[in-house]
Amino acid sequence: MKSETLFLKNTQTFAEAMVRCGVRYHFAYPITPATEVMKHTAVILPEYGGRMVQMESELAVANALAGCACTGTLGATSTSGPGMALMQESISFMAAGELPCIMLDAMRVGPGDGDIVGAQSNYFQATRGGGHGDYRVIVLAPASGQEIVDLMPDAVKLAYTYRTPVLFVIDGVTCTMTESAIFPEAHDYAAGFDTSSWAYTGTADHEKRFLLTGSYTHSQGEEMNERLRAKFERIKEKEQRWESIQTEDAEVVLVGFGIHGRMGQDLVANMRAQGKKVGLIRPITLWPFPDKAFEQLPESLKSVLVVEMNHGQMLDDVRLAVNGRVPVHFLGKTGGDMPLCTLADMTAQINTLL
Amino acid sequence: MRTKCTFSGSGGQGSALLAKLVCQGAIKQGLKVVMTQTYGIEQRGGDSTGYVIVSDNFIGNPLVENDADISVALSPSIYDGCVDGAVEGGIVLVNSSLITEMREREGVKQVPISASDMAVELGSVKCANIVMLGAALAATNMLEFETVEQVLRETLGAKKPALLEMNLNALERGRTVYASAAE
Repeated sequence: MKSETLFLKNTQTFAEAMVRCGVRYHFAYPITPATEVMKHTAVILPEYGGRMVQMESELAVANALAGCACTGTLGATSTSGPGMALMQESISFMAAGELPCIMLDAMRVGPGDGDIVGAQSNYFQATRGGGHGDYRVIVLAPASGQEIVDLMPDAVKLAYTYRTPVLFVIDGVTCTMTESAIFPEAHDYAAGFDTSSWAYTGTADHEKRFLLTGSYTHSQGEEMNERLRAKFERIKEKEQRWESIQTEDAEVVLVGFGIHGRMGQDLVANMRAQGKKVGLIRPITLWPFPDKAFEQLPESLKSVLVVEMNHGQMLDDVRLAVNGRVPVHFLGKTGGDMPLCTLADMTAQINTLL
Repeated sequence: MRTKCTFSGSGGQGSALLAKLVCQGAIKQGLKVVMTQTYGIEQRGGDSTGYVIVSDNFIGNPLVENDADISVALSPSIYDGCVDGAVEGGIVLVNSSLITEMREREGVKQVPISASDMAVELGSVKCANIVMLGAALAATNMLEFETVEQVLRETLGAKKPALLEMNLNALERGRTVYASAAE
């Protein structure tokens, strides 16, 4: 598939991007606002020699995904908060078994069944592991259709380099937004990784392998956790991603991911045009959280404002990163016809802090 | 330049198509464009709104947050929302065939256009949205008129050639009627 510009709903952009980057098996169960990803892959995957498989439940989806990953083949799933909750046992298993895959959480209002409108309510679930045990998955938070496309090759490379699930989190408002994105020429990034040393593909060409995610001795449990800990440390050191805009002389820095980070770009431009010294830090990886973005905060900084489509989740990570140097304020909402803070809301709050 | 649009109507009146045609025109002219839908579940209630932002640079804020430069109100049920959702200095195109009672809002220019009646004269009430599209293009500088004509030819020309001429006439009718109606 050649390079081209497409005007798509961002859920469809996600589907196109993952297939063009090497995903050949997409396991899914319908849920608003993620359903359009599977509708799209059902149509396009056969053209690439792959399949979308609608399973009977989210539990079946997650187990199919784990099984697919065991063979070294790149699989994916897409769901929303309630579906993510049901998948957590298998995600914990994949983290322990060091199995690569791509996942999308098209976030909507929770807890419980919540509401179908967009939200960023699953930050904790995404970044704290979600399932049981001492593990993390890499979490990516694109802010536009173009960034979904741009991050997808990296997502596949991260999944295989570190042999880990990689989770995209995108709020439902961004998911259902339609905009253009430039897709580069299709390339199977998974094919570039040699999985022969670990994939479970039968014993025709290698000795029998065991996938142990538990322990027969207490020391095995400790060894597994030490191995994972060392890997998570490497990821934290090497893979933090963020965008900083005009923080060098800022008096207030806005911190937002996804849609609020994107809106922050307009906010900074508007406020700078009025001579107001406002900057932006937009985390792109939510785990590892970009602590490094907060290492060199300017002397001029008076306070930080975190804006989220929830009641304060990334806020905790920002407070840890700022570590008491300046006050960290919060603005957020979830649910309703307009389920996020508007640019006017954000501007008004920043003005009280300047 | 950035233009924020609200295209609103009842289900079947084609407000979503109207929004899509503007998007396609913007892409054709190499502009940035974002389309969002009605945010809540009221879209189940029968009303449909397409929000479109056309810009010559990156669109950070994708929301039309009660600051629409141009609104199209096709049916009475969404009229109040269009008037309240306009920016100071904005324009609301009112389908006066169906919206018989208008209310004043200072700083917002409301232009009554009997789009449904004109559409019937042109061949089908279904092209009322295209009449409004022609008027919206005349009311703003967001797109070249010829670009949208070309989009209509490409989208309708292949699938429904019989409807193409009617829609091109509707587009032109909207453009000419805006100038006289806006006086």
